[in-house]
Amino acid sequence: MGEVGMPRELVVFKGSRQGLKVLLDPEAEFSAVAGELRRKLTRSDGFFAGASVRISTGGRELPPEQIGELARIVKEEFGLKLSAIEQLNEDLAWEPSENEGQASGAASRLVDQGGFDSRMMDRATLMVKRTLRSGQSVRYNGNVVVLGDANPGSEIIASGDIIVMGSLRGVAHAGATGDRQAMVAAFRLLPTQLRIAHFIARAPDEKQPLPNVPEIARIKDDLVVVEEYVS
Amino acid sequence: MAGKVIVITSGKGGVGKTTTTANLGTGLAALGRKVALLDADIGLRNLDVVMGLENRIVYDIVDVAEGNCRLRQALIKDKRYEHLFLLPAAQTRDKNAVTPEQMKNICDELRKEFDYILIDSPAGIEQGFKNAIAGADSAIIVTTPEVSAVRDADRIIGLLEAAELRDPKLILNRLRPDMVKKGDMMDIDDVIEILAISLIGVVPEDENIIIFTNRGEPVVLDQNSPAGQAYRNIVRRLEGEEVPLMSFQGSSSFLSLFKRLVGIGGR
Repeated sequence: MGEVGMPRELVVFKGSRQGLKVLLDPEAEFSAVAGELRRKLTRSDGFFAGASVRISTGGRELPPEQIGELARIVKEEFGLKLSAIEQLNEDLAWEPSENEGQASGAASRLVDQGGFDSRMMDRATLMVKRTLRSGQSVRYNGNVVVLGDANPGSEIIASGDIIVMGSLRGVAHAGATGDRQAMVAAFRLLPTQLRIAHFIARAPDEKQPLPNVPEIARIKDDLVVVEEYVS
Repeated sequence: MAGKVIVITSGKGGVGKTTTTANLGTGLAALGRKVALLDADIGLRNLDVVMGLENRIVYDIVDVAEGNCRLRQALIKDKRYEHLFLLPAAQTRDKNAVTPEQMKNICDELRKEFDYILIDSPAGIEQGFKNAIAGADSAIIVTTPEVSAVRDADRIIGLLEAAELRDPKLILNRLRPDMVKKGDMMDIDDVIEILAISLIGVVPEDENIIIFTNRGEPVVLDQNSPAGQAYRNIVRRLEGEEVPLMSFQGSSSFLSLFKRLVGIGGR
């Protein structure tokens, strides 16, 4: 992470147990940072609306009017809940991510290392009680469980885990706000493309034997690994 | 008496919506039903050509919607059957010339006089599609055994669900049993597994379709062609009869298909 020579990102979003965390570049000009924050939130297309967010200034102390502007952008313009603006220096290093708008490796350190059961309980879960068909999309700040299939051409994007109680043939993005502990499980895991945090995987081009057991995908050593699901 | 309004749609173009509409309509009329065919493909009309009625058009669906004529004046009587009528699309206008409310009104008026109203939907998911489904009670989805057509059919099923048109029926068109046998074409099971809706018929690829369509005659009236037989079977199923699927020589999925048809409610 943090390749030399890469331009610094002014605003980085990270998912954490406490919710969304927004890290601001402490050295850049405030107006540029505020503009970038607005731009990223606009591009997220309401995905974060209602989420609680902590803003970290990366150790810089901001004058009250700038604090006020940040709060106004987040709360009034984009409808997020602002839980705190942190101006203290943290031991967490400022790391620009490889993938714009998604979290870097540091995010995983914020996440509890406990089993996925406890992580599941921390987040709200959306139950989709139907089959997702081509062109249908579910975006949710939390876990998503589909009671049905997710057909080719469908899309599931969740900040938490994704479970499909049928065939997953579409695109699934778990840990979309950067949670590398997120996982995707399906009764039949045959996705067009699978994304976890900022890792992207797809099926090999050669024809693969169809799985006949439930499988689970997660990140291991910076790779998306698919394994048979054992309870 | 309230007739059934059925929209025939697919998403993808060229899979056989118009041919299916013409054949099912003619087949129902041959059983003595009163049938109206409604071409909703405004600007690209061709149901009239397939029916061989092109030269009889005076008024069209846009004229009816705009009040330039009465519905009865625009309905064209078929050459072969007394109780089969066509309401043609306009060729010089586009899809926005009619609103969903106007379509619904036209369907409701036709419903009073006919047993079946079959709507030939345009390809796509835009205004023309929305118009076509506006007045319908149920839908028949036509697809071919190709991944692109199946993908589009899936999209259409989702849109129909959103429009509260429940329980659409599937016609799998242009199946080539020889290719399925060699593993070069999706078979019935593959398609049903993705779409998970009930199958009302399978129509094999048949060059008679081209011959008859070019003559402006529906193949359903041809007693010798496999496609004609397949359409007659679908017509009987629409009438509530239980007709087993045709057995295609070499189709390995024939038995498992029955299992699926039986088990479909559980999905």
